[in-house]
Formats: sequence, structure tokens, C-alpha cells
Amino acid sequence: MMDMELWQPHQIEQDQCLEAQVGPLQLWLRRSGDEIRIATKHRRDIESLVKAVPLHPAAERKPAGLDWSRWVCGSCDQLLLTPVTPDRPVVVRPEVPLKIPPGREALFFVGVPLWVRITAGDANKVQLCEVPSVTLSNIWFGDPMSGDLCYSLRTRARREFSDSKAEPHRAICPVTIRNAAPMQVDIERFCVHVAHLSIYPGTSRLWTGGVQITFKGEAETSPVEYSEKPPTYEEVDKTLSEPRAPVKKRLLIKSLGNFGYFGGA
Amino acid sequence: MQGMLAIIWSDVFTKNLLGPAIRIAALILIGFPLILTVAAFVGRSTRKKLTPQANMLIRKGIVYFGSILIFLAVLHQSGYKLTALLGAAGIAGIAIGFASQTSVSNIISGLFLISEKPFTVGDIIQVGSTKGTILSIDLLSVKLRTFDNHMIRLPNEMLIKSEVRNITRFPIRRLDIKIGVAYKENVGNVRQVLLDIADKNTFCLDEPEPAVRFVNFGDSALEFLFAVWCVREDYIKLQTKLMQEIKERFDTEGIEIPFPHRTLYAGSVTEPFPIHIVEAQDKQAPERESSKA
Repeated sequence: MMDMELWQPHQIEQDQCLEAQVGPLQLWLRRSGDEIRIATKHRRDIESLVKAVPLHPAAERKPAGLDWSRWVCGSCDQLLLTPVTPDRPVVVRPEVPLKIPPGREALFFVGVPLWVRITAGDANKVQLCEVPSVTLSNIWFGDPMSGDLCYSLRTRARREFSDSKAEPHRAICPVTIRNAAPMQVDIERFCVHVAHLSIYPGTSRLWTGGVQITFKGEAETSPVEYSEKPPTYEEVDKTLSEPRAPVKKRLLIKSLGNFGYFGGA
Repeated sequence: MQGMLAIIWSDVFTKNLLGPAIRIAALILIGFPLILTVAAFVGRSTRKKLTPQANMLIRKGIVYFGSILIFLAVLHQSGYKLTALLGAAGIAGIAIGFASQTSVSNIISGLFLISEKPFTVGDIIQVGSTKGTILSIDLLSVKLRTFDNHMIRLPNEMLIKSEVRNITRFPIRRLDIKIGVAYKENVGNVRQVLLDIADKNTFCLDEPEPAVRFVNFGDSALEFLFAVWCVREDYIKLQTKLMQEIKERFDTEGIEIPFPHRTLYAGSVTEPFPIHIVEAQDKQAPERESSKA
């Protein structure tokens, strides 16, 4: 199983400063009186993408050059980092659009960047904040009169998850797109409402539940199913975080956008 | 005096006046509270289904209509002939109609605005050169708050007749920036730089995609239209930040934004303009000579 120390609770002493790294996201947490102060920094070097450093005492008690935020949370001597899904839907745009013939389906493995939820306290947990591990750009999914503000994710839309290195700040989301229409469909972008997904630790990386989108034609809405069970591609023995918004039934929402199709059987 | 009191007393307690008096009292004491109760009930029932303005109209309509009915009923119980009253009201109505045609037009325009819903409270609209946030949509007028905190009252009739631009109706907006670059610049490079600026700006949406259009060979510059999209709440922040980024990036890349200029030719491309440089001493000597003269 992957190293879970990053996501375990850690004690923090009075006037102590702890440091952690989740991929490109560096975190500093300092306890001062009844306050917890948090500073973050996003690294740009490629080596940082695979780095997972659990909370540990920082080299400096008061690191300089950082923008600190403060939370008053009483006597909180324990901190917990939890990976959670982004707070908005994610529009996945394959670098090379994919064409799915009628009656066929395609499975993609999408690396969804995660947010890190910082919680303080032991028995009475206080959620302090959620920090994105990467800065994602915004994208509008819909038309100019109505739609949803989403995060944009350019991806290679891998067909095999083992092709990519395990990155601690990403969870792999298996997305199956099934073409139930009588014509071929070009997949240029699809929207995943990640709020309905749980996060699970696998043997080598983090996973989300699976998503199945069924394309029924340009004029029809595509039914979307969000799996409430962990994926079976790696061994999973627990859930790291629950969905932000549980799904109670199949959603009929627009998930495929601006796709092209060719007439014919 | 005592005789008059005796007559009034006996009249009150005979069937001639007692019955109507009781009915009038009942109409007033029961009727008005009943109207207000019905208006409040209807208002509560329709609060979630209708806009606040429509809800207000319905409640006021019930109260005014009910009050007029009670008034006519009281007059009828009092023994007045309503036909004469209606006749007088008709004549008065014509006079009042001429006098209040603007107000009536505003009221009718207000009803159309409420039913058509071209804007709601909180929207930012522009009418002519007036721009502001809608504070309220009333029966006679719409109140705006301008960005420099003035209150402007726009008659509904004016809004029905004019072009009204609702700036915040849709969730996303496009920012258009006209940019002119020197003729010596590489068009492809300029386009690439602008798209890169949009890509790096956090307020720009990836889709709808930013666009750079080469629109004109201007008098002084190559003219481009740079169009980017953002959510409506980020419009001002985007405009400020993007303008600054364009200027800084153009300076870094050495892309010139030229001033308007004119190039003069002497009439023959082979011969330059003759230029005579005037020294300071030469300039002062003619001035002294002219002053002596």
C-alpha cells in the first residue's frame, strides 16, 4: 500500500512550525497561542510533482517571506491533512480529441488535481481551510447564456494508468464514455462533477470512484453514473474522504460538450 | 333643541336609519380587515412564485379594488344614487385622464416591464449614458444607484421606449480590447504574445476561447481586436490586470504601440526636405534688428 503518513494526524506543540509537501504544494503550519497560522507556496519544478513529505518540524520556527493566514481555534494540538476533490466540476480536455464509433466505449484514466483540507483538533475537529495543490484555470461549460464555471484540465486522457508516475496531489478517476448513439462521436471535452466522488488510497496512488457517461446523441442529455464503490484497479481498504455532495440517483446533466459527430450507422 | 334630539333619537331607533347604519358599520369594520387579510394571504402564497414587484402589485390591487367596492357599498347603503355618482365620475375621469396621462402611461409601462422581466433588482443596466445598479422596480419608475453613488429615477415610460442594455443578465462577459501595433511588427508574434497573456491570466476563461483578430490596416498602426471572456463578477479585475500585463509584456518583447503620426513627403521620393539649422545667435540678431526698426 502507498505511504499514508502524509494523511495521518500529527501533533503540533505550542510555538512549533510544521512543514509538509504534497506534490507542488508546500505547506507551513505554525501554532501560536490559540491560533493556527498557515502559509502555502506552489513550486514549479518538475521534481516536486512526485514529492510527498508528511508534516514534520520546519527548519525555521518562523519562515520568512511567506503570506500567513490566521485561524483562532482554541487549544488545537493536532493537525490533519486530507485530500479532497476540487470544489467545482472539472472539464477534461484531451490533448488529442478521441473518436468513439457507435456501440463502443472508451475508458480513460484522468489525474484529478486534489485540494488539501486542513483540520485542527482531536475530538472536536475544526476545518480550517482547503488549499488547491495546483492552480487550475477556469473554464465555462455551457453556452454564453447559461452553464457552469468549472476548472480546466488539459490531459493526455491515458488509456492505461500505469503509464504515468504516481503523483501524491492527484487522484486517478476512471471515466468510461459509452457511445449509445447511432453515429460516431468526437470527444473534445467532458465535464466530471468531482464533488460526487470519494477518494481512496490504492497500492501506489490515490483513486476516486468511477464515472460512466453514456452518449445518446446530440439532442439528448447524457446520463452520468458516479460509482459509490472504490475502483478495482488497485487494492483499496478504506476511504480517505467522502464526496462533497453525495449522489442519490443517476444524474441527467450535460457532461459532454461541443462534440462533433458524423452521420451513419 | 330637545325636540330635535327627540326626533333624531326616534329616527335612529326606527327601521329607517338603524338598519343601514348597522350595515355600514359592518361593511367598514369587517370589510377593511377582511381585504387586508386576503391581500396578505395572497401575498404570502405568491411570494415564491412571483417577483417581489408582481407580488406587491397584486397585494395593492386587492386592497385598492376592495376599498373601492366597500366605498360604493357604503354609498349605496347611505341612500346615494350610484348612477349619478358614476356619471360624475365619468366626467371627472376624462379631466383626470388628460391631466395624468403621463402617470398612467408610466403605470402601464411598469406593468409591461414587470411581466416582460428585461431586468431584475440587482442587475446593472445602461440607458443612454446612464449606468447603474437597479435598486427597485416600482409602479411609476425604476430607481438606479450609479457607481459614484447617485440615485437616478427612470420613468417606466422612458424605459419602454428606449434601448436598455442589461450588462449583468448573463453569467459571463467578453472584454474587447483594441490594440494597435507598429507596422514593423510581426503579426504572428503579436497574436501569440496576446494569447499567451490570456492563457496566464487567472481571470480569463479557457473557454470560450480568447480570440485575436487582425481587423484593420490603420492610419498609424496595425489594428487588432483582443477578445477574452470572464465571469461577470471578474470583469473589472480582468480589465485592470490584463491591460497592465499587455503593456508590460509588449515592453519586454519590444513590440511598439505607436502614437498617431503622419509621414510627410516632399513630393519627390529622391530628394529630401531641405532643412536649415538656425543657431541661437543668428536667431537673436534678427530680433534686435527688428526691435530697433
